[in-house]
Amino acid sequence: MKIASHADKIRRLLQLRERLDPLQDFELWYWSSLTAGTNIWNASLHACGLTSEDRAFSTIPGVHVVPQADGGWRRELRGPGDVSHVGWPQIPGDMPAPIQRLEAALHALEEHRDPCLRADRVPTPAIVAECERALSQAIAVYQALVPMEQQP
Amino acid sequence: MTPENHRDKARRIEQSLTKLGDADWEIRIEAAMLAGTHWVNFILHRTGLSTPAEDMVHASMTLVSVLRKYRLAEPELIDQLEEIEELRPLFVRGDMDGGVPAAQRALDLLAAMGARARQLG
Repeated sequence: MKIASHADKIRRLLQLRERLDPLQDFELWYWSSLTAGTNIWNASLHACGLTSEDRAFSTIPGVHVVPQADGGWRRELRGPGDVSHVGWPQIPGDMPAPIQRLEAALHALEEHRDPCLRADRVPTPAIVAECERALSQAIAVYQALVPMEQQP
Repeated sequence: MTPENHRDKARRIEQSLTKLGDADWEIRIEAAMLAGTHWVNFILHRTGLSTPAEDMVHASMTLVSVLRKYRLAEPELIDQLEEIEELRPLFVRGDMDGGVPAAQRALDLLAAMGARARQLG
């Protein structure tokens, strides 16, 4: 997907986080953070030329949903483009240091996904702080890698 | 997870949804997926179709033969979850036009799933 579309989502998702209470609304506060993080990952990889900016939307690794000229869409087998989660799939090639830092931050964020959303781990202020720290690191890399004019 | 924990998670997500607006279509759809999946697990556990050790994460990631079993028991429920999941690549991970009505459709589907679950307590 185009960097501008990722940037639009990142902007709105970060605004939404501000309206949610990190503990009372943990599930959606966290999911907004996670979704923003994945968009940051994809936009940053596109900006570095590591993945395609084609308008092809991620599903499972290797399968994308591609809009068609008639307004419809179809599933296609494709190479590296948008991913649905960091590391799913791994991106081939040498990763620059900022991308490696971004990847580590997003993995730290992802660690809380299943335990807190799909199991019985109760969110705590410490978990919220870890998520905040990870997303802040991700945003810092994104702002350094993606030109300002592409961040509406 | 126990049925009660699924129910509590679904209710928390539904409560948080009241803070979202039309411009938050991605997370409305994701919330419908998350809460809807908790309601599916609640119903499947309560009706004995699955155990707390057999939680579904996504219909699209469930073994075909297992999903077939669940569909025999709860055909509308499984159709509703699948329809929500189909919205995700288009409007959450994609930038297709129509995110606002798509999110409303997801919320309507979630409401129907929640209504089915509440019949079971």
